[in-house]
Amino acid sequence: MSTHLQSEGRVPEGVLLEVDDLKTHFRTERGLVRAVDGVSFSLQRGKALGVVGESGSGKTVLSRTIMGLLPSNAVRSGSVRFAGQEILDLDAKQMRHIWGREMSMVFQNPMVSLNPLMKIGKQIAEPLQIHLGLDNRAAAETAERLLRDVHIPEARKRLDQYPHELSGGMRQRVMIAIAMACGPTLLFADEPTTALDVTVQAQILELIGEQRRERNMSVILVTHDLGVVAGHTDEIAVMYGGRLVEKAPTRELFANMRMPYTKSLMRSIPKLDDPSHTRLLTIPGRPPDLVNPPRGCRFAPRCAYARDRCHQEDPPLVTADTSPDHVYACWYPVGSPEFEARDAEIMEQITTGVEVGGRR
Amino acid sequence: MSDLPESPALLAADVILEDAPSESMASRRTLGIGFWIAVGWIVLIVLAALLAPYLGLKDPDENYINRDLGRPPYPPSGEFWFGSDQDARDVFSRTIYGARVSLVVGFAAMGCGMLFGGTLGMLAGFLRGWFDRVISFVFLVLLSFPALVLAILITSLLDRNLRTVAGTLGFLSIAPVGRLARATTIQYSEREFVLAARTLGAKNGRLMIRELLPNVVIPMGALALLGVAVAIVAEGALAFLGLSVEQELSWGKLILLGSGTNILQDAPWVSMGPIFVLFLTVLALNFAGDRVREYFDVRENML
Amino acid sequence: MNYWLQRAGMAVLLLLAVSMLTFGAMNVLGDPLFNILGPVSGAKDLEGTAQADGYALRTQGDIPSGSYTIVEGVDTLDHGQAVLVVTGDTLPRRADTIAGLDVVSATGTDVTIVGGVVPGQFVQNGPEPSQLADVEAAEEEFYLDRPLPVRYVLWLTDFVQGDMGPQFSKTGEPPVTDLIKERLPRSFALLVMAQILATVIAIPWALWSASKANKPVDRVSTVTTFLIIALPNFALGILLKYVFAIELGWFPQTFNAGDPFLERMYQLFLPALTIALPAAAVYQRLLRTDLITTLQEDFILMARAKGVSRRDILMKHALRPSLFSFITVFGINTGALIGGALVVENIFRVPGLGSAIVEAVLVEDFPVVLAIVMIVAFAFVLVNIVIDVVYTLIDPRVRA
Repeated sequence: MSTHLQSEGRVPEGVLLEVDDLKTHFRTERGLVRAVDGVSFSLQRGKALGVVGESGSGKTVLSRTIMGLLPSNAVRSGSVRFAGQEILDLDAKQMRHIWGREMSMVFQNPMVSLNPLMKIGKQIAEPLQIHLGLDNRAAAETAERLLRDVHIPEARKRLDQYPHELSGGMRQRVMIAIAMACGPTLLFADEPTTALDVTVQAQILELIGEQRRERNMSVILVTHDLGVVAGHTDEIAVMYGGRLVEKAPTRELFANMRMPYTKSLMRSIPKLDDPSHTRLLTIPGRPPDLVNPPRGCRFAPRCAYARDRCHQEDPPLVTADTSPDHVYACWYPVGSPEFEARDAEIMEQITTGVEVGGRR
Repeated sequence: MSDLPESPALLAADVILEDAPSESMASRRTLGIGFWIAVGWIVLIVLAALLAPYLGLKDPDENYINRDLGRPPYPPSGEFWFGSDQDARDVFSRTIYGARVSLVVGFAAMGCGMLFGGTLGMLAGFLRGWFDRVISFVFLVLLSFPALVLAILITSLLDRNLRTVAGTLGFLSIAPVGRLARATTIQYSEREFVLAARTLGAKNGRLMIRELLPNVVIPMGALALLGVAVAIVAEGALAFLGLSVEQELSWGKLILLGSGTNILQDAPWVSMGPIFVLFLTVLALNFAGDRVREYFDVRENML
Repeated sequence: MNYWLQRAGMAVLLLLAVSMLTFGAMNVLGDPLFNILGPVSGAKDLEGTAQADGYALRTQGDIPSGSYTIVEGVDTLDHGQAVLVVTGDTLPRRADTIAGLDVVSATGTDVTIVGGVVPGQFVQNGPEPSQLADVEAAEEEFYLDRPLPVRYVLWLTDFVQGDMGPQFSKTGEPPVTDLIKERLPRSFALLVMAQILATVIAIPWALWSASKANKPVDRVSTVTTFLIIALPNFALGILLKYVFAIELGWFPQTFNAGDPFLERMYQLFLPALTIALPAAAVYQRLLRTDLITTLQEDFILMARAKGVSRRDILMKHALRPSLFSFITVFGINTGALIGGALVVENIFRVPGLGSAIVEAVLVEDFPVVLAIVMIVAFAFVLVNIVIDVVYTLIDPRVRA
């Protein structure tokens, strides 16, 4: 059913991606923007990692940094090891052999991410021809098979159509087909469902999950919506202000989340009865200025539970007692006495009708 | 929001372009030194043209034969800054005198286009309906001629003096200016402040003068400088074809006089002098116009 | 389909309007009979003087001494006397001109104007009264005895059948159609060559500078376009002629209609380049801006993420979506280039439509002017329809 084009000899299991103290800074007129500021994690082959955060948290830049798709005013440091190879110091020319072949990306908005003047078939065939050297016929046949893999009806007919002839959901399927074309081992999905209708969102996520299982592919799913990653990832990393603030296996995270930030994200998951594009702005305040990040914990200025120490000292990532795979960066995590005390105060205020912020 | 280029669009651009950080906002918000140099040149040439008789220049029609220099044409020297033509007439002084016709035609034509084209275009854009349709069709007809062909056609039917040539080019600028005025007016009449004024019961005439005129005039004015350059070049082309003002010198005519194969071979300076001045003037007008347009575009975006 | 019908209808309407305006202007502002017979009637050798024929009255200078009588009609013909033939059309310009005689007469020339200033056709100082016959013959031949609308319809009927009528000269030869047939191909070749050159220069240039946007090389190239655009084509033509034809001698200075085809194309290169360079600069600026905009699109990032090379991103992904305003301006610009061609043909002595219209204007040979104007307008309309077709070919979205 699926197209198994992966070449042999790639990491069949074990660690596929290791990111160590990764920093991405942009030189701008305002100063150095610390978009990603010391992020470390690793990802197993075949696993899915959800990267969650508000816009401006650095999650998109993180995925672009790993992939090497950054503007020239970006300065990267740290280490990214992909299948055991250091790829951070590769230039665009060298990365080109990895792009589309080893790593692929599905973008947020399928309406503008396909070339409007190129037939679908050709857009899918392109990576096949570049990386696998297929001729036109073989590429077209493979493209058709890929379209079937992503459950697009009348695949043959679609090859000769242009993007504007397809619906948004169909286009996102095409994007996935393109990303899958050369059988990559790592797929970045950058807000793959944000631009789509709610009903289509679930289908697309399901499709990505299905492809991952069939191809033993690793997935990094970037989203602002904890709800999206809940059912489709093995692990979740929460980012704030360019840093990883909490990371845990999905089940563990939802069971024992420690960061107040994660908790507020959790509270802002859109309910089914919300309109499909409800903005995620339920946390009071704005994401931190990444040129001059606040002292101490970066979330402190917006955190209802912050105390003096939070404004002074930067909390390190510590391991939670509930699971060795669960790390978080917070002085007074959920469950600590200080947190509970403050929480009780807040609950009291809410019940007495004082708006604390966010959705009640 | 932070400066972080989160949008994939921004990222992509930079990736492909490998650019340095784009022009600083500061440089866009001022007109820049180049603009003032350009304006300086325009002012200088206008003053020189106005004051030509009082500058102590050589008579443009006098033959200054200099036995020491042998037979004319004389190359550029201290005596003849731009050299002389084969009749020993001073090219520099002729160029300055030539500026008078070129500049008068350029500015007059543009003024004419602004006045009539601007009014018609604004009316069409504001009133819409049949008036707009008629005016738009007339503009279309006029614009479906190459302007130079139309200019040749009209000047061929008239006596060619300063008035008629300026009038012809003015007439020709009505359609392009008018079309722009119409488009700008339509664009603005759909903006909130005009709609608001309308719902508040402002009368048409008042609405047009109070709310629309200032907003249409600014972008139009920015384009006027470019228009002057176009008109000067058009006059030059007409003169070059022998179809401009008959009695007086203009840059186009001077270039024509120096363009014969023989004189070009023997005395290229006869044409190069006026070409150089014409070039600088058009360049200055284009540059200044461009800067002004950019300047106002930015302001418009900041509204 | 409907759209195209509408489009064609609009084009025909436009051409009709153009022809009506031109025809009307030339017949109302100009005077056909004068144009037909004027140059002929003054055929006497009057060198060094301001001739007393219709032409001469517009020239400056002295009228030779002698007695001139300007009379109505031709019944008072005397040797050595000027005769004003009046045909009845009211022509303010001629009236002005003749009124100018007053001024001249003040300088000592004995001019008598009988019957006041009468707008008329020409003043002749020859003795031959055969002019009247000529006038009558001409009126008949050129339908001048018919009212203007009838004349227009007659002209239009002939014109759409490919007969552009006789020239305004005593013989009317060669017919305008023949003249056009001879001149048109040269101008056409010149323009096609110029547009090809402009495109061939502009596209790689734009791709190159867009890929280096805002780097020093790109800024230099932007300044270069500015400089080129500020140089009017007659000035550019002279510069190119001086440098490449006269100083370096790489190209011929003039066009020779008798040479073999390739030779002629070679001779057209410099004129074509003169037209092409400013056009290329305009196209480059436009295309560069659009390319930079396109390169910021998400699908470009997508292409990069697929592993497409820089080159292919520019050529295969970015170029086509960036071509739209280029194509539009390419069409509109054709009009400006036709204007440029008129001038450039004169610099490089290419006997094309441009020189034809200038020559015709100078002798007020209006049928030729009219024919050329119509051809130009037609070409312009045609180019813009072709541009529309190209649009639909290039963008699948507008095909629906």
